[in-house]
Amino acid sequence: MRILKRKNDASTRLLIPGAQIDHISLGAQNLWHISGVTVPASCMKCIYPLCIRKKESSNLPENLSDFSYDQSYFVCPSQAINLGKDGFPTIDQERCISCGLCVFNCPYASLNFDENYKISVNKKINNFICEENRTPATSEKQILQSSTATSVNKIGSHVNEKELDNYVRAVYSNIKAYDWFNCPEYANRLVARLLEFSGYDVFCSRIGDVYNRMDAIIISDKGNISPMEIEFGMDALETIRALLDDIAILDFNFNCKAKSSKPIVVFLEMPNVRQGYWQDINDIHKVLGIKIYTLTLGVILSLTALRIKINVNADASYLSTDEYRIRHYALESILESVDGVLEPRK
Amino acid sequence: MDNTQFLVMSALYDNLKSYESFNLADMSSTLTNSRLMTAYGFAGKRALEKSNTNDTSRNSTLMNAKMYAEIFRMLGWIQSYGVSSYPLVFTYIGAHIAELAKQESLAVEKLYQECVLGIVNPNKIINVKYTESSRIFMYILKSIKDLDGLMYKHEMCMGPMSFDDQNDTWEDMVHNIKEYRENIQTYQEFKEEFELFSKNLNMQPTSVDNCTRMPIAMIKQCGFVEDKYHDLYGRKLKCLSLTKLGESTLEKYSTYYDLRLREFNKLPEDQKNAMIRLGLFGMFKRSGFEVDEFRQLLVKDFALVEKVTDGCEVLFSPYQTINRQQIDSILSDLGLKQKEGHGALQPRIIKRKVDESKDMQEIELSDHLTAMNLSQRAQEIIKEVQKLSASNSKDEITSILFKKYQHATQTNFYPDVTEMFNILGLNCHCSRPGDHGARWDAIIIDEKQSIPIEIKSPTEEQNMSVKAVRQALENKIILLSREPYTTSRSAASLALGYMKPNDRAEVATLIKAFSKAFNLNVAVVDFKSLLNMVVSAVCDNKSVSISQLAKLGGLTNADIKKKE
Repeated sequence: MRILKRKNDASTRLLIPGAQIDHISLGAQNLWHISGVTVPASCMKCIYPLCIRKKESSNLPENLSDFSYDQSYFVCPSQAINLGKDGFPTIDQERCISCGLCVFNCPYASLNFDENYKISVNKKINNFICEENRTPATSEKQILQSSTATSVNKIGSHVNEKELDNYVRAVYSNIKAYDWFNCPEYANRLVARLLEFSGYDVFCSRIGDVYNRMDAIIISDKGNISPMEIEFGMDALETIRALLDDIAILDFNFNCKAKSSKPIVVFLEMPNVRQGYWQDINDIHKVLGIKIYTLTLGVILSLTALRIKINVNADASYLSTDEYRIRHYALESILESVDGVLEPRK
Repeated sequence: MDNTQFLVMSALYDNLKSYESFNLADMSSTLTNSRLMTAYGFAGKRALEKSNTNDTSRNSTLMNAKMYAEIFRMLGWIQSYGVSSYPLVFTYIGAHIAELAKQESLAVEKLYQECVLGIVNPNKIINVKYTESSRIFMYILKSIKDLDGLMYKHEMCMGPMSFDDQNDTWEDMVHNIKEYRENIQTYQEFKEEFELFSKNLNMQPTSVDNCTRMPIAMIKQCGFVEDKYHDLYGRKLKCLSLTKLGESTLEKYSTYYDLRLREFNKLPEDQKNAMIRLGLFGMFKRSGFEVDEFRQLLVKDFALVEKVTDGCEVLFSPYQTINRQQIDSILSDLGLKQKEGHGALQPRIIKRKVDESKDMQEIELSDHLTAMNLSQRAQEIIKEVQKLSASNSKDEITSILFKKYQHATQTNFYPDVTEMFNILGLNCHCSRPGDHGARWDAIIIDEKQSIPIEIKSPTEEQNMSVKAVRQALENKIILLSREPYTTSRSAASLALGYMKPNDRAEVATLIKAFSKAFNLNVAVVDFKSLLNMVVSAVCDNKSVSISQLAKLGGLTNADIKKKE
């Protein structure tokens, strides 16, 4: 069967021959450094736009070959970014929660936050960019362009340390404002995509799969497989119960030993100290020997924006009635003004 | 477009395109292996094994595959291989959908819109009971426009979804809906009209309402409509409103010649072929495909049918209207599709699933009932059973009491369940409301193996679910950790609810998983079993020992008949 070709209206972009980006300075205005010259970073209209479409996940380990997971390839958890007819990404500001996943993913650092954390794409051309008509995706040039792009060195952080509070507050405010974000798939994908920056493979459950109750499984670079529950509501106790369910099912159905499990809960805000959640963490450790690690979205967002690798099973994330506060050197005296992110609200 | 149906189509095409035809078993095998379909928490082979049943209508993976097959048939992406519904083949349109689905978002969107607008009745593809002649999605868009830009889903049922362009007048249909809006003041009145409308269709209102789900999903997916709240029938209702794309699509396609099956059948053969090419390549062209190589041929076709179409572009989706043989022959002649050969279907052998739900543990009763210092409420329950026993068998007593508690709330159910355990000779206490230290609803206290009980009243959940099992596990962990009462690790934690779980396999699996992972046992007891035990206690002086309860695990049952 011969498949018809599609018309390509938009031209693609390439760096001119000889031009090589030495490194990219991240900041309020992302800058390319090319042979001693500095120019604003600009969108290259990648054939495989990494701001929209994530790279393929690694394969699941052998014992999880029957595990079903969400096959979505979108980077943006709320699918707010898509390709426009001109070949540049366009952002639906009514769906964008300002998480910055597209910003973090762009190999050319061509997406930026403005002062209100609205995200825009820099489309400006400079002397180092040339336009050419799109050829089929199998063209060697485009593949080379994409593969070269992913190896460009970035320096700095996507969000200034001093701005982290405002950034986290902006994301939280958007999440709470959008009713439709209550759907678990958005929250799950958001957390999964962020943790992938730290080298984890995260597989979210397929939405609608009533027999797979877990939100996600997370696999470390050392191959440890653990369940993860993501709770942006207030039901902390039910989340603990769900996690025990997940650990047991992973053990029973997929031979992932419960004793090796390092399960994680990601909240929007830490549960209140009076909630039974904290005592339950102690009880589970005492009776089952399993440590449950607690993180918040704000911490994950902040560390990812600072380009610091997150260790979800660090001691700093094991919280209980003895220690409610997430302790991380990079976050000391930051995020204090965002309630519930580092520790339960007072 | 992050849409499961495109991922599914892409996976099916990639895996099955080399077959001459494929069936539902091939589809379910492909989709479970691709993790696009699961059964009982599994993908892959285990999903197929667990869903395999003698009655294929209860085989969840097959039925899921069937759902996709029929939607894709409706969209013109697959058709029957031969005369009967199955097996199936991919259409030329379907192949393009599958290829596009692997690319970035906009590519597949336009072709999908063409396929949605291509849905038409009558047709040669789908056997349906309804007889209305309609290009349904054009009519839905048009009616939203004519109804001042807004339409409520039930108006859609009563309006365009019931419109027959051979027998009804468009203006009358719109006028009727407008009259409802003008004359009906309250939602209750409108609801009654809708119920009458449903009755005339011999359908339940819920079923009629459910018929709107797929059309609304499709036009939203196309981006033709969005939700807008509007005051209608005395209430703020979620209505469909045309987007700019919806408006421009309606405007554009309204100028096309809408070719239907009845007109197509009347055409001479050369004009039929011309219409097939114009319809099909029109869809491709509007979706951004390069069809210039066929330009000369299409110009000739256009001229050939000009008198029929009046010089207008043709709105006709061949794969959604006529059988594929004629279309595929044309494509073969153009060098776009190979002629079909003869290949064998590869059968799939699937193992039978094991019915885990039959694995139920019987609760044994002993003969000696220890006299306990029973509460007033316990004594009332005993008297009630004794009174009923004067004229009813034990089974009947259980049935009467079971029905009596049908609507019981926590307030009554929890204390009565507690007292029933006491009647059985146990030392059971109900937790005080607000006592956060006692997470369990009740507890049977013992020197060595106290048993916490998680209770679900019928108003909380009629059939027990995994929720109760999870909470029973939590209760046990708390009891072991905080030690307000003595217990042993091996002693069961009980979950008691009104009726046995709907999905017994799911609950049984979870309990087994808890046992394997944590070495902790949960036992599920239904209320009828408890009543059976209580009736045996009152009438036959039977009891149940703490050690018997502590040894329980999984789904349990206590049956009066077996004890007589």
